[in-house]
Parts: sequence; C-alpha cells; structure tokens
Amino acid sequence: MMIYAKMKGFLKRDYLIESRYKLNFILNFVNSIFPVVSFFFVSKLINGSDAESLARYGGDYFSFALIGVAFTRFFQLAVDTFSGSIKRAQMAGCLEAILSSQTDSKTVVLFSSIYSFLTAGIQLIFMFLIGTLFLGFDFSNTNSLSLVVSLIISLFAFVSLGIFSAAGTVIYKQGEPIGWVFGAISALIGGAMFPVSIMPGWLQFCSKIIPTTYALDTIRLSVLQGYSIDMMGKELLILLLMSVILFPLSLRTFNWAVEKGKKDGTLMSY
Amino acid sequence: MTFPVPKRYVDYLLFRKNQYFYALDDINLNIADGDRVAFLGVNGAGKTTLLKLIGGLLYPSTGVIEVNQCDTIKENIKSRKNVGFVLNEERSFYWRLSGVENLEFFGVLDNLNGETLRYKIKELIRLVGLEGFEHKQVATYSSGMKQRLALARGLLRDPKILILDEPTRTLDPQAVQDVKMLISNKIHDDKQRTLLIATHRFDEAEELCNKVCIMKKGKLLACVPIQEIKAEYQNLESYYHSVMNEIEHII
Repeated sequence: MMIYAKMKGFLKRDYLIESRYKLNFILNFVNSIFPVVSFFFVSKLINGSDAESLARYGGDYFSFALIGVAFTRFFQLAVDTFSGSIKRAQMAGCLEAILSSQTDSKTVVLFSSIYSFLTAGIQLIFMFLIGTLFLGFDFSNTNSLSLVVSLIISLFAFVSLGIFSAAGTVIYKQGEPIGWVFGAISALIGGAMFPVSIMPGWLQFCSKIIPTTYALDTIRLSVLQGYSIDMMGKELLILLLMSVILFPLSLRTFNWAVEKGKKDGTLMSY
Repeated sequence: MTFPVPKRYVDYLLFRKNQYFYALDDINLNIADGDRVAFLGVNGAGKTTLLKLIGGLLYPSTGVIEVNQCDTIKENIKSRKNVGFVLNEERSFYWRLSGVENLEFFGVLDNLNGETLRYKIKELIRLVGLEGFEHKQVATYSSGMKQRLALARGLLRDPKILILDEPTRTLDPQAVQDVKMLISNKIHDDKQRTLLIATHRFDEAEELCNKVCIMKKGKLLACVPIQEIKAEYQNLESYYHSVMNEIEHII
C-alpha cells in the first residue's frame, strides 16, 4: 500500500514540475516528429537499393528505420532517466533530503524515473501515430503477444543499464561512462538505422553483446513480420538472460554506490 | 627533464594525492534523551559532518555510531526512524512546487499517507507560521520562509531527535528571532525532543541548548553543560575563546 503511495508521490511530483514548464513539454513532442519525417525521406532515397539485408524485416526501409529510431530513443531514455533523476536531485539540492527519509535508495531511483518512462512511452506512441497516419507505416502484420513480451524483456535490460548509469553518476558525477558508451554504441552497432548484417564481421560480433541488437530485432520481427515467441526464441532467451543477470546486479551496484558515497562524503557533490 | 606531455598531467597520473581527508578524528560522544546540544566551531571544524553522521546521511570510515541503539551503517533506515533533519540548504526543496506539495512528497517518503499526512501538514504549516503561503511556489518564499518549511519537513514524522544544521545562517535579525522562538517555544517546549544544533551564534546556543560542544579541525575539544560554563565564565563566548586559545597554545 505504501509502495503504491510512494509511486504516486513521485509521479505527482514529476507531473506537477513538468506541467509548470509547459513549453518544454510541448517541444519534446515536436522534437519527436523530426526523426520520423527525416527517415521517411531518407527511405524514399534508398528504398530498394539493398533489399537483401532488409528482406528479413519485410523490405521497407522506413518501417525498419522508424522502429529502430523510435525504440532506440525510448531505450536510450530508459538508460538516461535514472542518472538524470539522480543528477537533477543532486543539483536541486534535494538528494540529501530524499535520502534522509524513510525510503531506501533503490526505491528512490526506480520511482524517480516512472514519469519519464510514461512521457517517453507517450512520445513513442506519438511517433508511430505520425508514421501510421501520414507516412504509411503498417501495423497489420503485428503479433501483439510477441511485441509485448519483447518489450517487457527489453525494458528490464535497459532499465538495468540505466540503474548502472545512475550508480556511475553517484560515483563519477559528470562524465558517467555507462550512458555514454551505451548511447554511442547502440546508435552505431545496435542496428537502429541500418541492418546489422551490412556491417563487417567483427562489428557484427560486437553487436551481439549489446541488448539493443536483440531488442530491435525482436520488436521488428514481431511488428513487421508477425513472428511468434517461438520463432524468436533464441533472441528472446538471450535478452531474458541479460535482464535476469543485469537487473539485480544493477540494484546492488546502485546501493553500493550510495553506501560508498555516504562513506566517502561525496554523495551530494556533482 | 622535459616531458613529452605537461608535467602536471604525469604527476596527476603517477603521484596523485589521496583526495580524501579526515573530517573527524577520535570523536567519542554520548547524547542523552532530551539533551539540547549546540555544536560550535569555525567553518570546516566538522560540525555538519558530525550531524550528518548522526543523522545517517554519512557513514563513519571507522568506528560506530548508534542512534536509539541502532548502528547507522547496519540499520540505516531504522536508525533514522526517529531523526528529523533540518538541512541548511535552501535549495533542498522543489522550487516549482508549493510548500504543501513539497511536504506531501517528503511526507510520503516518510511513510505518511492520506488523511494522516494532510492533517499533519496542516498542523505543521500552522506551527511554523506559513499559513496563507502554503499553496505558493517555494520559488517565491523568502529565506526565512524556506527555513520554516525546512523545520516543518524535519518534524513530519514527529522525531524524537531533531538535527538542525545552522538553522539561522541566511536569515535577517528578525527572522533569526522568529526561528529561535519557534524552536524553543513550539518545537522543543512541549516535547522532550533531543535537539542537535550546529551554529556559529552564541546567543542561539545559549537560548536553545543546555549543552555546548566545541569543535576544531575535526576534533571535539569540549562538551560541557551551559550551566557549568555560566558558573565559571562571563558568558558562552568567553568560554569558547578560552577553549580555542588553550588549544592554540597546545598546538
């Protein structure tokens, strides 16, 4: 019951603060339209030029890129939001007040990010709405169950990376490496804008160790080709393994970082 | 010798000094229930660090701190259960939220909810004298009002121990008087609360506390009841300077 009240408390706090910066809220939505439209025109330029690498996903570059860009953006947010909320609390001077309360640090970091997830989720839907209504994105082949399962498992993997990133922020302050590495790597080798199969062998090998590759692959296959869970069993299992290992590890790491900050006296510095 | 890279970078990499320092050294202190202790000392003496250690916001690198029989490291949340912390940081509130919205958020974090929380907030707003301003954004509050709000937040879970870190640091003389009255007449008077106050003000220590601890360079130089000081010295200020001078001589 109290957990629910705390979740509601964090949501209310973030909603009230965000609603008092209305322009920022609107601009975030407007910003999400640009990549959709950009990739629509890029697709007009390159459609059919390398149909072989796109065939696995139905052959249409716009559909391929929209899923890649929209979900990479969403997953990137999942990674950034935890460290962002810690950084904001540090800079606002509220982190100490929050951590002196009767709520443990893991709950604080998890609940601080719920609102960002919700708004990012709405932006994600908005991007697909634009793509579907005006630019010809097609959902007719979607296997909903596979999509939901892929999304949930993927989210756990990215939330874990996000919590690692928050732990990095507590320890390294600025220049936290996990979010940066994830952002740079996923955009390049995760297959957001082009199929992994067109990259050289060694880069394809590297792409196999990051969750973005599997997350985008399973989402694309379930949306564009209607693959069932069985048909993507291997990819989903790898994602699941990553999540099962990373999630508890990330929470422990964050706890350790906060304890270390308390011991070193660096928790509040930024 | 000429380095291919600036010497200071090589020094940084190879001979980096330990970035940590000991903020407190050899502190041994017992505080009884209902004590009102003022911690006096120059900036950097370790007053705030000591209060944060007692409040469980920092951990000791060695040694043990027990608050209500709970080790602040091993049972951190439990040890903080009866501790209210009034931070001296004006920015420790969400400025875009109103006073009530801030208290609601921090109240939920302290496991208060629903009608209990709403009643508590109403009571505290009245206690600290913020009636009429409770629904205004904290950004519009004066320093004195923020300090009052910080007191209200510190009292949300009705703590037995209230830690106040320089509660009047940024306030004008009238606001200082108001906050002192608030603490002595309303916050401490009717409850046997333990008060721990870090301050630079002798008048504050004399009016609000019954014990004084003097600190310098992380060491606790003295911890004496104010009555004993008054019996021997003209006032608290004379005692403070005599302790400081004595230590200067020894050093």
